[in-house]
Amino acid sequence: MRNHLLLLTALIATWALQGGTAWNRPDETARSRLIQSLKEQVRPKDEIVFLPEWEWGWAHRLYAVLEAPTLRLGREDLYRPHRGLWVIQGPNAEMVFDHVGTLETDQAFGPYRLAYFAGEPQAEPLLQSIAWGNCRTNRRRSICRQKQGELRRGEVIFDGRFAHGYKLKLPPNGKATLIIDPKNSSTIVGGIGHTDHGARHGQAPVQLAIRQGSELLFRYAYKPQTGLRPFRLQLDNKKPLQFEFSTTAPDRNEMALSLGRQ
Amino acid sequence: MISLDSFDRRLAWCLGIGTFILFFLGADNVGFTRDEGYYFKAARDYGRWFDLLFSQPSMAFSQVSIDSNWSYNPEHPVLMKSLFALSDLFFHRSLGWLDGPTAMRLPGMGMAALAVALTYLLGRQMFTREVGLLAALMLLFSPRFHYHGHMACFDSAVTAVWVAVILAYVNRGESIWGHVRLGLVFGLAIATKHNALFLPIVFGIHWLFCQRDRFILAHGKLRLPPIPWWVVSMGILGPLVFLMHWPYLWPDPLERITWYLSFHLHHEHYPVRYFGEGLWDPPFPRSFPWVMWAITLPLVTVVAAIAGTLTQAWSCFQALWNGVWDRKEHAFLLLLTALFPAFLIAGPKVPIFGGTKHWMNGLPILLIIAAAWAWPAILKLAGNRRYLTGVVSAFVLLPGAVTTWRHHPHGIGSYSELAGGIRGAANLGMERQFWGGASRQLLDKLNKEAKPNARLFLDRTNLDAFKAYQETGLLRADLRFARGPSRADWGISFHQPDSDWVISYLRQSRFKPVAAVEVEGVPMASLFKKEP
Repeated sequence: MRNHLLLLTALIATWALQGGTAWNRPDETARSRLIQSLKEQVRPKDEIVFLPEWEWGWAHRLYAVLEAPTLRLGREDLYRPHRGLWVIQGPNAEMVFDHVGTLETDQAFGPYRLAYFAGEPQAEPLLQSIAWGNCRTNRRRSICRQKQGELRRGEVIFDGRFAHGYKLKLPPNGKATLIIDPKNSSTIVGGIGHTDHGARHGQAPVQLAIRQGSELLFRYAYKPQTGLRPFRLQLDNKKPLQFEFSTTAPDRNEMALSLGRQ
Repeated sequence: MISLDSFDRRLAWCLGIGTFILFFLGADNVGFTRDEGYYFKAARDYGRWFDLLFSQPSMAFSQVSIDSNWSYNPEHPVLMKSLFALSDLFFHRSLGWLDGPTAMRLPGMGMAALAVALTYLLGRQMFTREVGLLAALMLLFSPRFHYHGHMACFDSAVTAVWVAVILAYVNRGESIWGHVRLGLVFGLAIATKHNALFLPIVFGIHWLFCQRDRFILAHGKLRLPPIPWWVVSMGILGPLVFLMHWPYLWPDPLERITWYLSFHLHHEHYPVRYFGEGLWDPPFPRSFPWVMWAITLPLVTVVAAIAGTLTQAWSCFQALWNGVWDRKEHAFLLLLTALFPAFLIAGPKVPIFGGTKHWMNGLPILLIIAAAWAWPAILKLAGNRRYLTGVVSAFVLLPGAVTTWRHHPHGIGSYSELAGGIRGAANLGMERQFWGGASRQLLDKLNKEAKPNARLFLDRTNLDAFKAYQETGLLRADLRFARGPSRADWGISFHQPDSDWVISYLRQSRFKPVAAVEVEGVPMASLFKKEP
């Protein structure tokens, strides 16, 4: 190609992209209208997520208008079940997921979409009770420690992405068995994987075997990669579930569980 | 080489002064960074020594005085920090024209201005006036260079001296003065930042290339061409200037220089977010500096730089193929000095933190290469009509200027068209903060809303930068610095890998998000207030 034609092509591409990025900027008026509309429609047990999740400016704008909104922290936090979920979708966001429920309403506010997905009224969005040895977490107790290992409820981190869930630091022997009571639920839904810290330091896959009584329901080897893998366990009976984690390289393995009951 | 006339000198001055004014006018909104905090403190320490030097010169040279005033921040040589100190002494303490931190920023802005002016001169000497001008303006409107040009740091400065040494090298001629000047400028360069220590290697490779026909293998022995005088001048005058400029070295030069070099050879790694992945430890991807250049410089500049690099490489190949020995090989010199810094960072064990600043010294030369390729294409595109030439040149330069304008004062996290702008880069999972400067835009809110004596946790904004904000009146004097978030009333979290825990902690600890510093909706830093 002749040099001047190459330059012309580069100029056209540059200005087209420059224009595209300028067009893509947030629209403050549309944002305010969206939040106002959300305020009028949101119900007490509804949760809210904004996408793309890095557009953190939504958070303080929501907090300024809504009383203690319950926020999902981004796409890693959408594997868990919900009782009703508002999705704010802005420019640069990936398309709304098909696994988040039944779309009930979908409104446009300038470049933004506000969609409502109906959930399960009886769902428990985040498991509150997980037992490890003699210790059991509950609504008030969020930490269990065993043999230099730790199970802690709170936010889990995946290189700038976040989810609510549990961080499981495996003890030096590389083994942990967690007991989850399905109660009356037929499904356990969520994601399991390495936190960013766990992926960085993990030197071998972490095996997970899930048993109910003597029956093996699920087995998977999680390679040290940051992020959750979606997980859905359909249950036939109400016996407690044993989540058996094990690895051959136990040093600084850190797993994340972001699970709920449906 | 084209010699410079008075018009070139005047144009270089205009570029330099214009750049300085532009940076000075834009500096107020650019927050103080972590490193600036350290250098402000260092400059104040060194300033005490200058006070002593002017009042009691005989006392100033005692080891006690040297050690008590020059021991802070021995990680970097002190040319720039001394200039910060003298600027503080002159413009703040003596004349009272500026507040201290702004006064200390002036030398950094001056060096950025020098970089633009010298880029013009080198481009002019190597090619044409238009190439020089185009390259200088491309540099001025490189968003990240523009950001660093405001800082009381060393990165724009080492960019300027890198070009200065190359100018001295190509203009050394055969004269003694030419060689002495080269040695002195090199000394000032290594007194600015350690990047310049690699220049002898770069010139050595260039010399080998230029002298390639004079290496003769006869009777199993390799006969070398005579060692050039620039080796002597850079080898003697450079270290001499380095030693003389840094009083801290004087009591124990060998041990202290060894410590300095060792510090940089074993520098710790700070995490970088790169395509959604946290890079904490080596090996780092070799593509890192190249990709970062590609997505932080305007796309048209990137295309011109690639095409220009290939053109210059083709010239080198032709020189090799045809055996033409002009002993200067400027195409090879340009390629080396432009690309060597990035090649260095591309080493998998070399620290990659700091965005693009650690190989920014190669940028002016890369832009000269780009401009040398672009200028004939601009002429052709404009049909050699003067008016149209100006219009096409403006279209080439404006994307950088527009991006700089759109992202200022957060050029540290600027991304260009290829990444989809700053929003596209956020979507790609690229880093946009690392230096703690973005808290500047949250200070007004804190000043208005924080209770008297409230404690602030500012994440990556360190205590020295906090003090600088208070000194300049940008932050209320009664507010207190909190080292951790647990005892703070307000917390700031930067959106960067090593602050993920901060935002997570604040969200889970009775803190409520109340504001965010955003560029086109992309958060740089977020402010949280503790709920009662």
